[in-house]
Amino acid sequence: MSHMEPGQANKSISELRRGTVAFCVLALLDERERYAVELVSDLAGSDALAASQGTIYPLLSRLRDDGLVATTWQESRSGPPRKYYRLTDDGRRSLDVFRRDWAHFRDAVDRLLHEGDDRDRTRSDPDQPEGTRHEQH
Amino acid sequence: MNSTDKLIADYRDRLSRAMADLPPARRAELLGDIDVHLAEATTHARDQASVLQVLDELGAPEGIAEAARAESGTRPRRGVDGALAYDVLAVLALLLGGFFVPLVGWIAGVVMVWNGPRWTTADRWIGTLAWPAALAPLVALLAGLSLAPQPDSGPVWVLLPVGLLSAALILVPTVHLLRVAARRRAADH
Repeated sequence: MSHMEPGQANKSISELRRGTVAFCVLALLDERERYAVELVSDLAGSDALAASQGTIYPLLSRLRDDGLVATTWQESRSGPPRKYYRLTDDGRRSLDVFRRDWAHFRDAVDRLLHEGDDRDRTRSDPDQPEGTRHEQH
Repeated sequence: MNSTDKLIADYRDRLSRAMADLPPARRAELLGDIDVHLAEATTHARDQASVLQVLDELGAPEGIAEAARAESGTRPRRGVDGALAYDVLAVLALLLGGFFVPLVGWIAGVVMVWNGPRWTTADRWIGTLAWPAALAPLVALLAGLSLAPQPDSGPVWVLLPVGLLSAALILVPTVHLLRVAARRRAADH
């Protein structure tokens, strides 16, 4: 662990993305139903998609098999028929649980990261007495 | 076939090959999704550069197949993991369960066979009826012997063919269930 390389951090972030992208999809569908190409471009815009666009389809199949989203085919005026995805009640419950857990997790990680950050700054700044900074928390 | 059609056809072929080990329904669904995606994304721009860009953004077919493998691997079908152990255990319970816990052990075997992912309804009936069918001739013979006027002079030699018939009636369905399971397991993986 003492030799954590930048590449390792990138890998961790991409694993985090992989783990959270399903809930990003559910959150987008919580706003309104969307078709796949639309979902893909919204996800790509928000930097949440871990891998290539095509990997969204196996994910969507799994979410449907798990009963978190439902699909309907709808005609489109501008092109071929579209498969629309919408959130089910189970999907909404799952998303609510994740929203709460994610907030806890994010806050806990933020706290730890910022504490470390503060200590580093304290150490590199000899004028700042150790201990005074901790009272801010 | 013009050049953009060829690009798309080649991409589909690669994807199809990369997914060769996935269940057919999964494969068909994913190919269908990709077809719709390509049709949608190339509705307004079908020149070669646009199609290349759409394919590039979709990503390597092998990567999509890998994602499909990872997603389906995380979700065992119908609550049973479809492992070899389940198939063998179900057949063993059906065959021998009754010896360990009379009747209840056999019923457990029947339930496992009906819940197993590999067998058709016909296979399941074959498994269910194996023991009743095997026991029927023995029961009939014993009933016949006890009704005979002179039980001790009863034809003991009749026991042998009837016993063999019973053994065949229990062993043939057992082997059938195991072979069907092995074949479908191979097709699934």
